Amino acid sequence: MNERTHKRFSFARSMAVTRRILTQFRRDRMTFGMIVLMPILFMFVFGATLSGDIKNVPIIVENLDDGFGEINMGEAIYDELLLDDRVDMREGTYLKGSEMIESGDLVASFLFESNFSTEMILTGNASIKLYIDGTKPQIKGVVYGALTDAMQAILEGRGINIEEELAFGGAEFSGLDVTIPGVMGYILTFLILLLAVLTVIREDIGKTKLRLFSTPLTPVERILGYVLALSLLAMLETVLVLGIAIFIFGTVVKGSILLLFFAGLLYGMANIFLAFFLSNFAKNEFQSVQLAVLVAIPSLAFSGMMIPISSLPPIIATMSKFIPLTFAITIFEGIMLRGWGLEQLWFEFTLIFLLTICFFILALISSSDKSKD
Amino acid sequence: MKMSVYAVETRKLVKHYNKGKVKAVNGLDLRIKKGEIYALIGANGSGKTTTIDMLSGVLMPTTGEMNVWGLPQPKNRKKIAHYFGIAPQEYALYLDLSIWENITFFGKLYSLSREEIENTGKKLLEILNLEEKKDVIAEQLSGGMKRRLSIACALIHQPPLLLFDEATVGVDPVLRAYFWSYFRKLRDAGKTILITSHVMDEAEKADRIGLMRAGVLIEEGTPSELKQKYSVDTIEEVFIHLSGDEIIDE
Repeated sequence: MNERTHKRFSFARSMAVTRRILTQFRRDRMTFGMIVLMPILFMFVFGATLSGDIKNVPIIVENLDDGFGEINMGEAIYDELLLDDRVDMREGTYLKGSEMIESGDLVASFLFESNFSTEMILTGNASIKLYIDGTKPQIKGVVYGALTDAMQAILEGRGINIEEELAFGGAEFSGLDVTIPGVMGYILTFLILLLAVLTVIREDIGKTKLRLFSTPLTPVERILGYVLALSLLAMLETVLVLGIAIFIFGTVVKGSILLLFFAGLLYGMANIFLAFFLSNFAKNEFQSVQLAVLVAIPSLAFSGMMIPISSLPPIIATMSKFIPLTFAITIFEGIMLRGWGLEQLWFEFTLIFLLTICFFILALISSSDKSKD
Repeated sequence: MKMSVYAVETRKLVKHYNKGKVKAVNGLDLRIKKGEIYALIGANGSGKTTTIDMLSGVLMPTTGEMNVWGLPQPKNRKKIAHYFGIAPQEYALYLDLSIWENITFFGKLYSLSREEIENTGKKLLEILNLEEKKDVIAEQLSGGMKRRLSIACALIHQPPLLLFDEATVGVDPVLRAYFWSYFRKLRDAGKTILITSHVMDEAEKADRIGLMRAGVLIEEGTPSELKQKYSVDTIEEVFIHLSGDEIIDE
């Protein structure tokens, strides 16, 4: 034994823990597979389902409009709808369409009466008969959207003209692009939490934790060792998610990719510390998975990833302000969709940074290097 | 650091669980001299492992005092950690790491250089007959090999005090005999060994024996002193004599 062994803090001891964890991950093919495959799976599943691109909604339009002179507005709307890929025009009458809706085979059935054009031109007030399945508001909205756009197109400047000017987004953004920041945040929440909690709890199960307690390794060195290893995994996850988003889904990143990567890493680290703290409450792998889910589900529901926060009930909207993912998504969206930098996102960055510090302190306080009685 | 003749010294050491309902260790006075093999013998639940856990600084005592290698424990626990090596009752190894990776990891925790780990590690592998298996993943080892690896990890930093909790339990007789001859070699090299066991005949191989029951030391002495005192032939008979008709497994 020599004098250097009495050092209060040794980075080499932390690095020994880091190397050990990384070797264990490398050996554990199932977990390593999860690290690589889960982000890909999440991206495809969430990307495809939450992209907002609803297409081919089946509808029937029965056009009985006789027209007014040479103008047949019913026919013109019909033709516009034929070109719109949001709806899939089926052959049939309004009544047949209504029957099909009853049996669940159709979403909407339209009827343009014979005097539609006449009424529209002479009085500026005409009716369209519509029978629609109201169970899915999102799909109903798509049908209305397609009809409104078709009517807007045939009015050719008559009626109300909307002078649209986009602040952000535009033709280069697909529904998938706007979903990816949320999905990225969710992956970094759920996967990192799960991996981190499992890594910490594995030490308990193998009884190696008590043996570590009897060595010179201090709680700070132990946490640092874990955090270094798990941060590398968080980096890998961030690179994977960004790589899939950019190279496979063709996601547009308007801002700095480097800043986006840094944001992902910072948020990943916050989750690692949170996992360290939470692992104190888990006694086995099953409980640790439950804890990860317990954090991940409210994050998924209340962070604005699935439903905009403004659409949530007031109490839930307030709760969303206490969910780190809410701010992570704001950062990811800001950088990716709006091209924002630190100037616009300093508040969210500061908040995530403070949360990381807060979770680190919690992890440190709760991580004893003594056996619990 | 105060120089003491004792490697381990406890005074009225108490560990109670469950708000005093369970008295695992109940006023233990233990003195282990430097350079001896001391066997702490007792039935399951007599408080041996709790004592080892407190001595290693993993478990905090309810009351009482203890000095390990002359330093008050748990006050100096991270400093004391350098003076002892522990082989816990459970193997407490990283089963997904190889033998060498386990040894290297524990060596690094004691701030050993790569060279020191190489030199001591190779010697330990040779002595404990693990050389040929050094790259084998610990999970694939037999129970006896895991036990040997656990002892190697306890010895990698060459501590003067060794705490072996049931280290020879569950190994075959040939290996057990080998372990004891190795323990004696370690003692001859100046090491102090505290070994716990619930197998009474093991104790005969130690220099001194402490018989533990219900968290206290009920008798202490060399094997021959104890057998002579109670006019019996084995340590097991000494223990039975002291226990009377009570059930041994607590």
